[in-house]
Amino acid sequence: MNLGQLTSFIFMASGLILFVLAVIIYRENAGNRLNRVVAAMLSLAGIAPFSAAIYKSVIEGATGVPAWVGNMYYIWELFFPALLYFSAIFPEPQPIYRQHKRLLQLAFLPHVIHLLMVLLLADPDRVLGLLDFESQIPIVGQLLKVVFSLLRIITSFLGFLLLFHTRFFSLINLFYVVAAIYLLYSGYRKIENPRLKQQVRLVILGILGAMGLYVVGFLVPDILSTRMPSAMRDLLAVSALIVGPGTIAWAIVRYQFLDIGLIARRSLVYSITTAIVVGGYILVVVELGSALRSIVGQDSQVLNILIIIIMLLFFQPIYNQVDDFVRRIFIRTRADYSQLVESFSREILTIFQADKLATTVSDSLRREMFIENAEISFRDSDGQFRIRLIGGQGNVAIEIEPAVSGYLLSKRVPTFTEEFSGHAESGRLGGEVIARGFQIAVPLIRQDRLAGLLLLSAKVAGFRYRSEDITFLSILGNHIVVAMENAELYAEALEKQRLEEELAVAKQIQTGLLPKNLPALRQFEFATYIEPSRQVGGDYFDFIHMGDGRLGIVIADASGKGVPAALLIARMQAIIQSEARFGKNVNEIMTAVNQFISQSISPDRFATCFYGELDETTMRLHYCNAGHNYPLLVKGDGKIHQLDIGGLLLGAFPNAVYQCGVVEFAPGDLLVMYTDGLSEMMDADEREFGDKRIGEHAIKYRHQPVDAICSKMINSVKQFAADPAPKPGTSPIEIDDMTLVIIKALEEGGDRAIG
Amino acid sequence: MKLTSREENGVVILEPKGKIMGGPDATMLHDFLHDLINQNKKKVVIDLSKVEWMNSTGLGILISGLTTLRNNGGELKLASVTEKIESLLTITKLITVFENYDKVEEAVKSFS
Repeated sequence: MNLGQLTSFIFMASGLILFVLAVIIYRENAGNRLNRVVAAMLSLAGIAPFSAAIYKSVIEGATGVPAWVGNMYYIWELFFPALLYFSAIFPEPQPIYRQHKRLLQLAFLPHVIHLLMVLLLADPDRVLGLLDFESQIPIVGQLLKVVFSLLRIITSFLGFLLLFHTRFFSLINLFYVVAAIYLLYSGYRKIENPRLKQQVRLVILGILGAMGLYVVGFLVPDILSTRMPSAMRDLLAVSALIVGPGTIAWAIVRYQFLDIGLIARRSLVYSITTAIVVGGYILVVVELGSALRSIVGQDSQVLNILIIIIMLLFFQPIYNQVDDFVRRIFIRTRADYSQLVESFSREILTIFQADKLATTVSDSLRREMFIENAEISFRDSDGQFRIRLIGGQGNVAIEIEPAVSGYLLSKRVPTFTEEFSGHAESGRLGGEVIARGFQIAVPLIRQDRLAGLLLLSAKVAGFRYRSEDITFLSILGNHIVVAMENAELYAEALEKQRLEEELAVAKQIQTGLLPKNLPALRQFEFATYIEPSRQVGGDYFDFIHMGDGRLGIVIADASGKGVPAALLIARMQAIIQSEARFGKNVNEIMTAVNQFISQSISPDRFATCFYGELDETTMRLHYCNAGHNYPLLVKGDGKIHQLDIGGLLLGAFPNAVYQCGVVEFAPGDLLVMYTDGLSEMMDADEREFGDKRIGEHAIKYRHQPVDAICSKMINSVKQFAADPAPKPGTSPIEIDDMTLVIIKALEEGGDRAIG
Repeated sequence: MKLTSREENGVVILEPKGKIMGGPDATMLHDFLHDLINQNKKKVVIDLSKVEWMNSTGLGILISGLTTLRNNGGELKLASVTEKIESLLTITKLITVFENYDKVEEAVKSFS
């Protein structure tokens, strides 16, 4: 195979590839004007190398071939107006196409005339001879002179054209190329979709490259009437043929140029690969064969078969390698939806905010699927579907009729919005969705409820939705639902964390409100214990130092638990502390506290409170019990006195009346104050610890130091409640806030406990 | 808590059963009393014989029921209070606020 043969082979192959491309593009979407124009353009371009190959191998040097047969080659020049036409409608029809469509069609006229001319007047010398009619026909009359003059002008023009047609039309072609590139560039500038921009850029660069090579190799030499070495010219032609169609094929495979389906893209890749591999194979077989033949020195059938078998052995693994390589490079890219799903889900599953999710999905879909507009419409708590405002913050309701949502819920797959009306009993459904330009609705279903819709408008440049798109959208819909769930769980977790942090601070504040030190009185010892059931509690105790050996003692329990209860006792504490310093009687203080609290809380909330004033000099305790568990005064002889005088619980009845009680301490007497968290602590059989048991424990431990009494009491309560094996079917017992305050009058001659 | 009700001589008798503990119980009883007021039924007896226990929220429900009815010119009376709840009412001194009858019939009769 010599260089000429190789060039012919490459020409032939590129011509074929261009035809194949044209057929694929046309078959993929014959309804789309763009596809038709590109197919026509590529077919015309294919004629050039194809006919050049035939010319080189068959016509060149042969005798007896009519000149017009060789001139059939000029059909390919129609490529230039086709290129102009293409550039006027790609990727979207441009103003020139919309306003001067005729002009674009007229652009074909010069080339049609040229073609007719070179076909009909294929032998210029003969025609030029014919044109010299004046010498052959005698002058008939003055009248005909005018006609002849006219004819002369026409014939001179024709003669000029025939002599210089190559140069003249090369100029026209150059002009077309420049115009086409200008149009493509102005169209490119208007594109917003990044991926579309990418593919258009690639196609423009491809055409620019191919045309540049062609201009340098053919048009410029033709215009300047110079000759370029034929090898150089062929090299430029081959390069142009590889660059031009190659970039278009690349754009189709890599960037979905012209909306070519995945299968078609794959087959395109494989056919080009196969063509290259088979071409290489044939080349090697032929070369190897001739080399071997020259060594062996004879032509043998056996040798030929042997070569083919050997080559087949090598061919298969090589083909597999190339196939693998091509699959890796071309198919496992963005063009492949499985890849797309993977990257998509990776992206959206890490988004934890609904609005960000909507933005990301919208942007990615527009980029990856060439969709003009894609929106997620979430359904709010009122059942309203909301959609983002275009270009702005916030969202707006979009009407989705119940019939439509019901239909989508039952269908569960991406649905064309035009289907909605077909299921309406009367009237048009999905009106607003369609009016906003949405063509597809993907139902987002969570727990058998339509939680939202993914709405998609038309694709750019007239691309259609394919079955692979629908499958992809269906999968994507499921991923979005999972992402929505994630976002919700994340928001909940975040909220919970925030609440916990706030509660931790609240607990700190509440702990700070409790007395930091125990009161120091000469005749009394104190021990306290407090444990909220939650972070913050509704129990509290307080000591108010009033001087002169007098001490205010408070224990209280707000109804309910947690933050509401904590807020109530914080307020109560402030009121009691301020009221206690006015020197009022305990019952007057309680009346005031009750009035204050009643004003500020609802009647179903209340607090129980015991307030007492201990006077060290008289050893007396004046007290008022507002509905609180009776504090127990344990006398030296083991008798128990309940401190029950006072009045109603606080906060529910603003006009409640309170009375004052008084008890006297003898040395060794014990006052045990507690909240119901202690007395109502239950064991596994739902029996309460009870006031009686508290009294019994107090009697039992009454001679011990006050700290020991306190801790032993708490231990007893906790042991009572401890249940290593809860019975099945019983709900875990909710523990209330627990508070215990013990005051002991020092025994005569007894030592103060250290601690 | 389960709640049943019946009417006798223009007096609505509520019969809660189980524990009155707040949460949904509170809402249920609260809504029920409000419905009664809307229907202009303001004489209510709560039969507490089947109530094993109530916590502070349960007490709050009773108090708000009483307040609501009184503010609307009605009255809430208690009947058949178990020993345990009676002690609760005693400690909180609520026993002084609620009219309390041993038997439902007595409570109903007291309205006429």
